[in-house]
Amino acid sequence: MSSRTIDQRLADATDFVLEMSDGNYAARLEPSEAGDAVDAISVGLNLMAESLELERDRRTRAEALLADEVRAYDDAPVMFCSIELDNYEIVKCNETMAKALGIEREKLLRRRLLGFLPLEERGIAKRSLTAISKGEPPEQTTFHLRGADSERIPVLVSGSPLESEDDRLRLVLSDVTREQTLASRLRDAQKLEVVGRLASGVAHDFNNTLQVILGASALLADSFGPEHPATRELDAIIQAAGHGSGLTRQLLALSKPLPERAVPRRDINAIVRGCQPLLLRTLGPSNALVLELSEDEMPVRIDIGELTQILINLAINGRDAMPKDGVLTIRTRAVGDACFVVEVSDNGVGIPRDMIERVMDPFVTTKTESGGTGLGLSVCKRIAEGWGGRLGLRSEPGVGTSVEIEVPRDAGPVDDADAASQSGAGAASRRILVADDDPMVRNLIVRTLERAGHAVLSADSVGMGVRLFHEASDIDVLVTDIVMPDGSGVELAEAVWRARPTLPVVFMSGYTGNAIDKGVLERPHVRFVAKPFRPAQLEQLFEELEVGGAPSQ
Amino acid sequence: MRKGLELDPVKVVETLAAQLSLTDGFALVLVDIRGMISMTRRAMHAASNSPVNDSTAAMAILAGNPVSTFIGNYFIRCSRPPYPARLFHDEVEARRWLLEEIKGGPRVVAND
Repeated sequence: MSSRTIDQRLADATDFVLEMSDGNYAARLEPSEAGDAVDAISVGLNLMAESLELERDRRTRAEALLADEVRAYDDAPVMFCSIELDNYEIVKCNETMAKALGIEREKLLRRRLLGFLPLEERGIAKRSLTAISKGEPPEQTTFHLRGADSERIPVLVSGSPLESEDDRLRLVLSDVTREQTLASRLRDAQKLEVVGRLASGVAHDFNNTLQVILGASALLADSFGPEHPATRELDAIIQAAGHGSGLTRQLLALSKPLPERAVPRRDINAIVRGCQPLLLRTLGPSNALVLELSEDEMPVRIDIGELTQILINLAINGRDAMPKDGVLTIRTRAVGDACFVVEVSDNGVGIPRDMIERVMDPFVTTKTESGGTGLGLSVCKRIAEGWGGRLGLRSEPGVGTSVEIEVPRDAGPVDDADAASQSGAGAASRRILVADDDPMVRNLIVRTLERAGHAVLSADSVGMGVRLFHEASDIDVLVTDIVMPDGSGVELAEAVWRARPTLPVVFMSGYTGNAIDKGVLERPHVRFVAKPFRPAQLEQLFEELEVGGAPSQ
Repeated sequence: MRKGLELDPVKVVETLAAQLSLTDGFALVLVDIRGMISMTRRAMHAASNSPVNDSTAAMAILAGNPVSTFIGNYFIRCSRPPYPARLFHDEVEARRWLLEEIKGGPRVVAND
């Protein structure tokens, strides 16, 4: 028997009840072994405390589960909402939807869902929602939501009637922007592939033809001198051939990866200065060019021709955007330790807001009247990305457009050989072996090189090239086409390298540099030049390769 | 059950299983809880949801003092065992009731 009195046990029971009323359900009353009515009450209270404790645990778990579900609902990667069927008012929605529309969730409630759709989609949306409410397939499932920033979000809509409330519809709206972008890129890629195939097919012959036009015109212009009445027409021919060559190259560049090759370290400011005459000619007499270049040396490892191509493309865009008295400004600056920026700004008409995002896509042009190809900016972007850089664009209608080209910095000073070539020093007479199966192109290159004071041997095949090389034995440089009837220019180069492993070789082709194995192009004494090229380009490559020879007379 | 016994869920199931093993799968159960001083809700739940219940035909609960009476009543009312169960304070009456139940033969008992 318990030694404690009934009063003491009842006082314990009272304390226990007070504990429970404070939410403490863990305590238990100790039975007395008397088995009397007070013990019966104690057992009952213990059972009650246990029940309350179990219930509280169950409720805590249920609340945690509910909180998880609310979080999952709010942060779902898709938009959820419930709408009234009779007026399409939103009665419930998740945070994802509020964020996508840029409107606070509370302010979204009681707004009509159809109000977020463009006018032209509302009719079909009504019919589709009615179909969904009846469990039938909707007429259309993709619509466009327009939020606070007026940007259209393509959404895929699905849904089901709410079982608890038959006048409401629960909808799931999935943002399909990414899917649509990918589909659009795929379409572009397919389009590019077709263009690439076409371009590759014609590029070789077309570039050989342009090579003859360009080279012959340059030779004639040199013969006549600047005062001759025909020089102006010859310049026009050269310019047109250059334009044709640029177009072919842009098409090829878009559809194929750009060739990778070792290039010397150069000062970006020197490259921009070197482009000045070309840019002035591109801009024409009614526009001005302003260079605000950094005074610090900015070493980069990029192809001069590629940066030139970007600057010319941007100058053409600037010229077309500036009807009169335009100013194209080129600035250079360092951004942090990792890169430099070349900024090209014009004060032209600017790009319409709805075009800005797409303007770097291939075949998108703002030049509807002058008939732009839509290739310029996309090629610029591709080249910059090929360097590991970036192309950024800002434009304000009526104010102008500014393009920033980010170029990765290369550690170390500018290469001396490059500096020498930039200064134009070192013209010399060289022994050159030219191999090309096209007689017109071959003869033209021979004439051009001979006129520059070089001694030239020419071959129309790989076999003849190998033979001439061994007969002459004192060749300073090999200039060879890549595709010839009895083999490739690479085979010819490898044959001569067996005798002279460091002989400088310039490969030329109407195709891109991809026609040659990357390993060959990366050799230090190898360069590639795309046809058509100007005589001066060959001279520049000889300088880069440090091709020896006797000083010119 | 001996006096002063407190039951936990494991003991409840073990006791019922031992009981059942003595029968041939159809048991009339007389539970003497006169010595019980306490029982937890979990033990109550285990008793009313044990697999051995499937073979229990009827249960007479023999209570004595107020505590065992409370526990027996609580078990019948709150745990709702799926077989006929009744509280007795007299063992003879309990046995008689069980025998009357068996005369009625096996039957389906509503669990409400």
